[in-house]
Amino acid sequence: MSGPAPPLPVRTRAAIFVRLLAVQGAFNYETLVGNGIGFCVEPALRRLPGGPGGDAYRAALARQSQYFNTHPYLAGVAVGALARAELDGEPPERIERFRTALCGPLGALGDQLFWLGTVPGLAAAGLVAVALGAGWWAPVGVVAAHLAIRAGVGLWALDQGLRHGRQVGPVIQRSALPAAIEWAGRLASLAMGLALPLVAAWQLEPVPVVRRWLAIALALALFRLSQRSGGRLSPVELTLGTMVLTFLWHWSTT
Amino acid sequence: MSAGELAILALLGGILGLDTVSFPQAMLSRPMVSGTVAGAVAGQPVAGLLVGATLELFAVETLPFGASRYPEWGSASVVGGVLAATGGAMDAGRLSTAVLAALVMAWLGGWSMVQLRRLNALLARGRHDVVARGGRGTVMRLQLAGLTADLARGVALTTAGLLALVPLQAAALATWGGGTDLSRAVVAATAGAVSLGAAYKLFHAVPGFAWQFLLGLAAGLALVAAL
Repeated sequence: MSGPAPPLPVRTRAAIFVRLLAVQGAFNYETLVGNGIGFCVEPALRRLPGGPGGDAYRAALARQSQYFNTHPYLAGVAVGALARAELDGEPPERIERFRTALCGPLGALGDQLFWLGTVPGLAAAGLVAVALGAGWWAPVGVVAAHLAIRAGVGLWALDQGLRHGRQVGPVIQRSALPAAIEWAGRLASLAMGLALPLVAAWQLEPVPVVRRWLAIALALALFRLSQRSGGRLSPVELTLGTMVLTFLWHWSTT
Repeated sequence: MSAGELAILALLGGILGLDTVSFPQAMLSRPMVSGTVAGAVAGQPVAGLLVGATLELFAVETLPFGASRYPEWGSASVVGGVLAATGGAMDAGRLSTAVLAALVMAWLGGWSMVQLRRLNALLARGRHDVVARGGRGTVMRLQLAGLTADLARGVALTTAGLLALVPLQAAALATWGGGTDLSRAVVAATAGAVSLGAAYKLFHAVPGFAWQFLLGLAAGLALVAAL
């Protein structure tokens, strides 16, 4: 080891951050986001001894472009920490072990924070806004809020990775991220609960009262049927089937 | 629809399809957003928002975990938004056929993403040795090839969807007999069932989250009663 490397210039950090937006660009079933990690970490590797094209650069880029799995929004933690480890001159076998250890936890944290928290939460909040008459401001607000969260978390993740290198795991565990996951899930649950009746009322506004209640009864019956099918019938498949049957019946009687 | 309009909408479908996974995952591909944008481009943003918000109720069921297969809502919602916006007023059957078409497109989009991932794997396998030697150009080209192929996938899917489904919808609406309320009620019921299932799937397994959901539900029902 040659000791801690100096901090990366802002320009290099910015290049990595922009590339992180396309980390899944070459996603595939064999290396998953491996090529994307190599693509994102590459601007930092140019600072290795020998510069771009040097032996150290080529060995590090080859290492970082192999199989890797992570959540795309938290990939900055991995990219930053791996860049730090490479620039600090850590032994290759230690970097590879660290790389393997990073895969699972970041994916699980990101799935909980984003796919089960902020994304459905913002979607539900947008639906509430639509139902309350916000019009096209609702989608604009959803995108703006998501971009603010995404950029904030992305910059923080990259900074933590670059700052702490191989020690980033305990730092993330002690950070506000676990509490944010808890709160994002709770708020998403609340927003989903709030959205369902409001959107139903908005959609059924021009429908006569009797048909409104029939629609609610049909929704509950379909939900129950979907639950009872034990996963054999996805909600979307059930929906497609119901809609096709309803409209075939409608056509045949009009 | 003129060739110029088709080209603009196809490019829009490509860009919004790209947002789903490859770049930049900014929620532009959420149906509420992409449906509204497509409706606006087709001259009816309100119709686009209506179909987009309805499709959003289906999309909350989608959990895009890693390598799993899931519907692709970006380009599908462009097709749905255009179908809802074409022809002026939201006449009988228009919302239903737009939603139905978008669901089929989302399913096809999910299938096409699986094919894209296979193509990316094939490209990566063919260049594995160069990547293992740290070939910078190859790593960059693989990334750009994946992004370009995903954009092309969205453009092709949207083009095919619009070319096939716009005339199909016109033919279906020509024989549509009833009023708007029945089709709207069926769409609302099915969307409600799917979103209820999504809420159940998302939150019932986590202790405490069900209470937040029920609290939100009570507040929503109170608001409906008050408004």
